[in-house]
Amino acid sequence: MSAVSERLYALRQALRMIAQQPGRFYLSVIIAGAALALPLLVVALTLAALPPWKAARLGPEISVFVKIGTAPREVEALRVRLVTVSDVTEVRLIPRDQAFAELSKRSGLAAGAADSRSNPLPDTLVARFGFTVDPAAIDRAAAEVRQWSGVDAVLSEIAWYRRLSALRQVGLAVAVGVTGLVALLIVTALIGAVQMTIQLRPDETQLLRLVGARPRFVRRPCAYVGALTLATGAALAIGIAWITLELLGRREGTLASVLSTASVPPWFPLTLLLGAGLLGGAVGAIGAWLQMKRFQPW
Amino acid sequence: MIIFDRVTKRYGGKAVVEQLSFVIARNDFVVLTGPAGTGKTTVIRLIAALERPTSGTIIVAGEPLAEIRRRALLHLRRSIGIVPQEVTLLDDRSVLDNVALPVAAAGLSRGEARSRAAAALHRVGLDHVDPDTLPARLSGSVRQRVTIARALVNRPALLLVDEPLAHLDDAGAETVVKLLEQFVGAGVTVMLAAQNLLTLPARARVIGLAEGATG
Repeated sequence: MSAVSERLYALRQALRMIAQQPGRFYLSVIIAGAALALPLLVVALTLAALPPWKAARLGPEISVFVKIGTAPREVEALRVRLVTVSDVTEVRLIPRDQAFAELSKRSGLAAGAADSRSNPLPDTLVARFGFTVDPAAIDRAAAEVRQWSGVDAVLSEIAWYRRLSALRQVGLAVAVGVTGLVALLIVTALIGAVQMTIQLRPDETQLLRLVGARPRFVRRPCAYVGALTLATGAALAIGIAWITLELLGRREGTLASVLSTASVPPWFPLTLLLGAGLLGGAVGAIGAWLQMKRFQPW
Repeated sequence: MIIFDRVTKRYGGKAVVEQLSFVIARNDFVVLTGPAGTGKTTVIRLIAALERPTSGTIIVAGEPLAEIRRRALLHLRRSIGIVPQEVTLLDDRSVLDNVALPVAAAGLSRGEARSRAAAALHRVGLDHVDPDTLPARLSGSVRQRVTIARALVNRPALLLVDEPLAHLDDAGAETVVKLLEQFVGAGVTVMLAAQNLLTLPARARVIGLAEGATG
């Protein structure tokens, strides 16, 4: 028997196993589908939320006040140098004239009432850091910049960011724990779903042992049943995720504007189908092996 | 073909077979007989390496079973046809698929398996049985012959038949015994375990087992 016909034989046995207990198979597919829909939705929503999050321009900032009388060329050199500081994502210049004009406007002074020559404000460079940077790194950067020539003072008001950073660390630890727990539950559900569909019959196993069948001859149909169960469950999960995103995207509101852009990335369904199929195959084969051991050692 | 040298098999503390020795040559027809519980089935399971002896040496087809490797063991089992005491047909598969199972398990193609199965059914005189019939619809005698066909399908050199006559009437038993004699005539070594043998085959050699059997 060629490798192909051996596998075809195993596939026929797998389909027979499923046909003999269709209820178990459908239930297993539903369990697997529900379990796999959860990570699928999380991935889709995370990918949808990332662009708005990045566009939100959030992050701690330090203000670098340039000494009054510094030439514009030197101010530009400072700006360029500031961009190279570790973890700085963006540097913008607020020229002293602009700052003075805004201040005059806010304080209610008539335009031109204040003489720009009497402008006491310096040119200011505002450096924004990445949202995940350590607050201590910002302190170190601020201390370093303070030493640069041409820099008068550095204002680092990041107390809010320190608190947020601490909260984020706690949140991250909780998220890792919850994610691990959920992943464990999902894997347990998937294993349970496969185990429910593979039912080796003791009489058949004994008979196969009697006629000198290789253990893999017994295991392979179970592996196929496991693969078929989880792959079908994955297909169901893709359907569930698609319908859920469609329904959520149609609702009105801010959340809907994010959800409407949420979609399952094209590479994900295929990866999920293959991954689920492989996992199902492995679980099926191991389950069959354990059942064989229980009936009688080969 | 088979050498039993002072073989003992105990279950718990009880010896079912004790110090049993015999030699079976190729193309022999051996009848293993004795009352219930004297170890006939155990002897057959020992030969098929489904059990290990507590002590003693068993050699089958030149292979000492105590040292046999797994691959050789599977090969050995494929070269032995076994008809178990209980008729073990899979009721959810057709007669043809039941008979073809050992061929498929040996790794041959579906077409070859079905062709060999049809030939085996012909050999046991079951041409009249619809090969797609489920075993549950067959009489006990026919089921027994289907089991024998399954044991023959891999063209074994050794056929171990465990109490095939227990559930058959006299006519059915005689048919099976004649069938086994034909196989011996065709070069197969047959070991038949039977508690009561009304019709002893003409060329049969008898090994009698008693309680805690000797041989």
